[in-house]
Amino acid sequence: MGFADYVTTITTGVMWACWIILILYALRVLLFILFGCEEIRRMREAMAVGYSAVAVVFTFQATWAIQHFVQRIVGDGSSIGSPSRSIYALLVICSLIIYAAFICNFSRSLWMLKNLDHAVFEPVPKWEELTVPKLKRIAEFGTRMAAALLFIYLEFKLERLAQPHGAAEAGSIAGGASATRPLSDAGFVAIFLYAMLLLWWLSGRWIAGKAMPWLLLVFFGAGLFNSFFIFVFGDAPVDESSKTWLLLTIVIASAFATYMIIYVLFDLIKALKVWVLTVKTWLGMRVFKGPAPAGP
Amino acid sequence: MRPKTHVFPAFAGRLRKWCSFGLALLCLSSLLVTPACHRDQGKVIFALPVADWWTAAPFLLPQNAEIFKQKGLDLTTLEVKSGLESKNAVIAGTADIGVCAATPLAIAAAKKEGLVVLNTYLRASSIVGFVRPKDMAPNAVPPAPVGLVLSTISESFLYHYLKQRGQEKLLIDKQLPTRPARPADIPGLFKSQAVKSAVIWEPFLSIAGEETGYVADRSVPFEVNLYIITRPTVWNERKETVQKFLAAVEETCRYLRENSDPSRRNTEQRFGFKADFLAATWPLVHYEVVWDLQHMKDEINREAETAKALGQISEIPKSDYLFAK
Repeated sequence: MGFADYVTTITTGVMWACWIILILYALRVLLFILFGCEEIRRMREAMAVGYSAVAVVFTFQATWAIQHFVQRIVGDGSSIGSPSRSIYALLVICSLIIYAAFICNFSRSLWMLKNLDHAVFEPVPKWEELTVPKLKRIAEFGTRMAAALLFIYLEFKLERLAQPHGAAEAGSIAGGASATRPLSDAGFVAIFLYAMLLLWWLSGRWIAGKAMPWLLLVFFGAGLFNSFFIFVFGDAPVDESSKTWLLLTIVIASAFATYMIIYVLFDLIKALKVWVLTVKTWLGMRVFKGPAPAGP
Repeated sequence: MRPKTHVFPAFAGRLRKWCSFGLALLCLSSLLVTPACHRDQGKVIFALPVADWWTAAPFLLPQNAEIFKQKGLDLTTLEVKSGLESKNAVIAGTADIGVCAATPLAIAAAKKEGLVVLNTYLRASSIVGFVRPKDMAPNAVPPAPVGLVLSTISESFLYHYLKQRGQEKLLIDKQLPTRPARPADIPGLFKSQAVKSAVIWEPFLSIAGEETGYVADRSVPFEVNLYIITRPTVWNERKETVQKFLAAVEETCRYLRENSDPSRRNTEQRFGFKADFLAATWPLVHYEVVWDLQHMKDEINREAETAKALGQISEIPKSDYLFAK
């Protein structure tokens, strides 16, 4: 058995991992809506449940495109060079990591956008007070809103990628249309999304100064690089002359994607720790009639 | 009693954290991989080049799903753009079975990429040809830049055309400017005047040939066979499933042969072509699952020689292992 015989298994595993991460973030948002808000605004919470649900459904649909994404990268790219089998394995692994990083970021965005909606940004204390000046507020809200719209649009594009209609495409070309480039198109939208997120970070820097986390800037920068990669190589035929570029950039892109995944996982681990502590405290209060000892 | 201390408390704390993180990851991965490893024996992922009606037609018949189900197969179709992509999907593991022409197979054999040819699936003549200016003289070298799909029958066709006219050096020495493209991009390249001619297969040959000033030239004889392929491990370990797949394909092909006109209309409908768009080209393709070893060997050898001449491979491969079946 070679690596190729495990690709379907690995792809399924990555898809499950993406679902688990998505479920955890959706749960986090739901718990925040139910128990986390100090001030309940019912209409606003109803809207929040609505747009979060739409985003969760779109992200879930986008996970089905994982196999198509890997196939598109492998499809043209691996017809070149030698030793081929290791190139195939490299392309499969890298493309899986890159796509998983996108899904992880979408899931994380659910939580970040919900928090910001309540004027909470965890790394910066007193975010609400800092965003009182009108101009700063406009800059922060404007970039956040644009990013949220692009985020939904990109998920929509990826969802379309999950349901390819190659036969219909040939018919539309016969009718005079141009060939579609679903992956390059998604990469193009993603460039704008991450550029907007970088602008949002800059607005945050203007608002909170040095308190704005640099690691988040690197996170968005990594997303921007990966978007460029998908835009350039997603639907392009690859020949010998562009082989080195493809291999070089896919390795760099997957290194960035790994960083994005680790960033999201650490974020989730922190949240899980808080949940465990909350449950322990609750059990301590209910079962042992007293507060549980403080956690680490 | 003295409190328990550690020489490097900070390091021990971090180590504990990393260990628990690692353990959590290990548990998560085993949780994910265990169910994913359980694979239904009847499940088959098939990489179908769906952009070309002639490769996809039998698989788009309404009866198709029922035929595969009756054979006990759970067929998942992975849509790909070309036979080259289908072959890559099989080698990379994103699909179990694919279809491709002899050109990618010859290159795959030279690189020892690990493939098994199961059968010939279709035979076509004049399905690939030139899109050239109407006023191009017969037997002339096509005007440059020439749109090509690399490592496919498109490149092979051009080589053979030039070779018959003693002009193959133009392609070997790269004196004839070419423009690599995906099949679906070729008609668009004529619109934007990025190419002056192209070698492409149906339906893009017919589509691009409708551009003003151009014509689809099918006069150069060039036989194309498509082969059903898989990985050696799939063939060795899931032989029964693969055989059921071949039997199902044979049944769909037979249905298509016996119901040619309704099948053509169905294909036109599925692709969104206008009525009778395929009337002229439909009879050029013959669908039948056959095992014609010598014919397969001859064609793959011919393509290997082409690939060697074009510098894609360094020596003619011994392709016997491709026919391990």
